[in-house]
Formats: sequence, structure tokens, C-alpha cells
Amino acid sequence: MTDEELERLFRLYHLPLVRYLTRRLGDRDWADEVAQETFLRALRQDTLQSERSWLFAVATNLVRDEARKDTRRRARLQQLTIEARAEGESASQSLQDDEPSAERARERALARRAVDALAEKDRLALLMREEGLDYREIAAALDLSVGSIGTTLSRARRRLTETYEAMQADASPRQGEVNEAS
Amino acid sequence: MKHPEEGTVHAWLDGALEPDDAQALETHVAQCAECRAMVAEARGLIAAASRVVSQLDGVSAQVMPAVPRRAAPSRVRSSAAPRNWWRYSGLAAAAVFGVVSASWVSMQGSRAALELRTEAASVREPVPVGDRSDNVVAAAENSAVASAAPVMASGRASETSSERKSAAPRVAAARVAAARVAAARTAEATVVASRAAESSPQRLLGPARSRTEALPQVVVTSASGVAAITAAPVLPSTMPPSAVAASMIASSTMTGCYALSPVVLVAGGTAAGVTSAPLAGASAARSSRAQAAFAAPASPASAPLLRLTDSLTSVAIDARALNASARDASTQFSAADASARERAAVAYIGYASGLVPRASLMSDAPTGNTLVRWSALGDDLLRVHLLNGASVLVRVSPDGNRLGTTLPRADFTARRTACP
Repeated sequence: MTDEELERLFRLYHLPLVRYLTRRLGDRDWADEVAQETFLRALRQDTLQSERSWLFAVATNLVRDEARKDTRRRARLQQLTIEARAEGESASQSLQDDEPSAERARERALARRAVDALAEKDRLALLMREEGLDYREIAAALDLSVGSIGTTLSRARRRLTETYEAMQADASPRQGEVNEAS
Repeated sequence: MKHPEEGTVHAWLDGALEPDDAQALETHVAQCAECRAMVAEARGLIAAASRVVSQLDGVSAQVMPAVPRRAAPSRVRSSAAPRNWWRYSGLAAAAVFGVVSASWVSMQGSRAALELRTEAASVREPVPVGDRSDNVVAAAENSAVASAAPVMASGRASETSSERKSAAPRVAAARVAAARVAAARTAEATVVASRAAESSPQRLLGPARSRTEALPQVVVTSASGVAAITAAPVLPSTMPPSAVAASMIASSTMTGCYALSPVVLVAGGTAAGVTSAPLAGASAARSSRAQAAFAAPASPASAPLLRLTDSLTSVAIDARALNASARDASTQFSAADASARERAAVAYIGYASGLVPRASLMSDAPTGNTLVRWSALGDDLLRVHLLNGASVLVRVSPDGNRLGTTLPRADFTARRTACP
């Protein structure tokens, strides 16, 4: 791959790839590193016929590979995530002045949990779709049939929405209750 | 034609069906109320899922402990590129905001203006949302991915130090590439903004006008047969203001019961005319979350009532009806403190994927509602907080705007009250 080709590839796909990975991993640094490694792998390829699905597939596999190899770090991440959630909840309760950011943090934590609750392929398909990959690209990246992507996405979207709503309800017990203003 | 599977409906909405299949489905849906409901529900799910996913953005760096994960080469992105992308994000967001607004207002015939300025971030920039490049990407071929799999399977384990060294020049090249990209980003942002403006759906722009009407009773429950007008592409261009408001409400995070003031659609900062538009028989679409039952407009004596148990999607607040001290208008309707903040006007930012370039910052979901947070800085100045952490200053003025787009406004007040 030439430098020009690399530049073009980077310019087109680095940002969506990092965003996809960030959403997947919940860690920007980690996402950056995986994306970087993905582009390095691309450098070693002579040509990429389906470059976007190739990049997303490689990045996905890198994450999977790394996660398998390092369960300790994954456990550590979970612990830190829990701590971050606790901090966010604490902030939302104690810092009225910082309510918007605390609320955002809470919503983000809920979203993370809801996304994590999806089956792996559902989650990846959804995140790839959110990055604009079409059905054929998603199918290629995840080694699924194109015909199954619609079902996969519909299932993922429904479950994600329902899970998120349920978590929201749990997290906000007052929501839906009647509040009298006057 | 049989009733389509849910997955087929999603594929259709995602533009993944073959033209013949899409046409057949469209024809069927037009004749089948049940399937229309399914389509509407699917739109809602797509929008809702997109919103949930977008909430993952802006994740702080270094959540993971800073342990050496591997002998990874220096980061490609450690150049200035992403930092410049921040500004790019803001500009593009502003542009898309205008386009999105235009797509919505065009259906209402409202007209206003935007003046957008980007604002630098004070924290590490999150990954911008929705800066998609798929519009320039050729269709994928499966073979390359298949060939990639073995590379992946053996990749790290088989990588030798010599291979890493040989890759070093390439890494340097990657850095150079990143720097070049960074340098181009600012200019590119302008281009994107310009394109976004150019792509505003002029064909949908109607004459600027204002309408006022009493809001009918709107009851939203979480029960099954849902009705929420969420799909901009299928909204009638003459949809009455109350339907617009109902659409906003059904897409909001409001819960509980609210007494509503008359809805005013504002054109160019002024409101004129009174229209009473019964909603009985108005377009009703399904979503998974809420049911809005539209009755005839309430009599003046009976306060319009809104009951909501919906909890998804977005509400943006119009600054003009806010107390300028309101720090973040989006909390106006949060369940925890709604009683303390009863007054607000709601401006809804509609979204129609067919009208917005896929390289938008928001969502490519057909009905993805943009979640932004608005802080009132003055009568005509807002600060818009995007989910990715960016903030954009938005000035509303009565006479056109630089982007050539229009800003929809539908004002009403919602006062939390006891549910019957």
C-alpha cells in the first residue's frame, strides 16, 4: 500500500473506526490503539477490495483477540467502570450545580450497560450500522449472511431500546409517577 | 404480498432492500395499516437505538489503566488531527443542525435564522458523532474481509520484531498522513458546512407562515398500540401545529401530566394567525414507547392535558421562553425536578435521513431525533451542547441565515400538573 493510499484510507476511515471502537470498548485510548494497529495491518496489505469492511473486521477481531488474551485487564476495566458509575451517581446526587453533566454521565452509563447487554453479534452489527456500514459490509465484517442483517439489526435495536428503557425506569423510580405542581 | 418480517422492514428503512423488493414493500405498506404501524415502530426503534448508541460517545480517555498493552507503535492519531477535528465537529454540527432544522421547518413553513459559531472544547475531545464517510466509500466486497481473517487470526502472535521495524517507516508515513489530514480538516469543515447548506431540501420549503392553535388533549401512555408522529419523511407537509407539538412531546423525555398552552409555530420570530386544526384522524404512527391519542381540540375551558410515560429521545428547548438563568434547558422536563421548572418552550429538531447528507454528524436513522442540550444565553442566543461534548453557539435572528437554511420553532409551554 502506498503512502497516498494510506493517507486516503486514514482520512476516510480513521474517525469512524475510532468512534466505533470507542463505543465498543468504552475507552478512547484503547480504541485509538486498536485503530492504529488496524491501520498498521492495512499497511501490510497490497490491496483492499472492501476496505471499510476489512478495517472494521480487523478492528473487531483485534478487540476480540485482545480481550481473550487479557481477561485480567478486562476485569480491571469492569471494576473501573463500576467505580466510574458510582462516581457518576454520587455526583448526580450531591452536585446540583453539575446536574447536566452528571445526568449525561448517568445516561451514558445506562447506555453502556444496555449496549453491553446485547449479544456480541447484535452489538457489533448495530455499532457498525451506526457508523454507516451497509448490510453487505456488515455481513462481510461479521461473517454473516446479508439476508440476516435486517433481522440482526431489528433484534438489536429492539433489545437495546427495551433494555435501556428498563434500566432508565430502574434508575429513576420516580419517573412516570405523578407529580403535582400546584 | 405477505406481511413483512420485522427484519425486512428494518432493511427497507435502512435502504438495504433491492429496488423491486422495496417497491413491493412500499406498496404493501401503503395499503396495510398494520404494516404501517410496524414501519413506524421500526422507525422509532432505529431512532431510539441510534440515540442510545450515540450516548456512548465522549467517553473519557484512560478509563483503562495505563499499562503497556503491547509493543504498539506510536499513535497515528497523536498528531493534531483529532484536535482540529473538534472544530470540524462543531462546524459540521452547526451545518447539520441547520439542515436538520430546515428539513423540519420546511414542513411547517416556518422561517428563522441561524448564526453559528463553534466553540473550543475545554476537555479532551470525544470522537465526533456521525462524521460518516460512507458517502464516499465504494461498496464492499466480501473477499477482502475473508482474506483479512487469517491475517487477524495470526496477526499478533506471528508478528516479529523485524516486521515491526520494517513497519516503522510506514508508521512514520502514517503520522505524516495524519498531519496532512489534520491540516485539511479545517478547510474541509467549511466545505462540509457549505455542502450541508446547499443540500437543504428546498423542494420542501413552503411559504413562511405562522399558525397558532389550541393544543388538543394529548394522552401518551406506554401501552401497546402506540402513536407517535416521529417519522419526518412521512409527515404531511401541512401537518397542523398541534401534531408537530405532539410529535415533539412523544419524542421527549417528559413524563407525567402536563397542561399545555396553545402551540405557536413561529416564522421569522413572529407569530400570526390562528388555526384550529382537529387532530382526530390525524396521522398516527407507532413507536415502541408511547401512545398518543389525539382528540379534538380542547375547549378553552378545559386545559389541554398531556400525559407522558415516554422516556426516550430528545427535547430541545427554545431559549426565548426560558429563564435566561436556566443553565441547561434539557433538564426542564426531567422527572426529578420537573415541578421546579415548569415553564419551557420546546423546539424540536427533526431529522430526515433522506434530507441530510449521510456524512452528517447526527444519525443516519430515518427518524433519528437529535439529542442536544440548549442553554439560554439570551433572548436570541443559545448554547447547544451536543452529545459528543461539543458546544455550539446558535443565534436566532428573524431574517434569514448564513447557511441558507431555516430553523423551525414550535413554542408551547408545559406546566406539570396532577394526572387525573
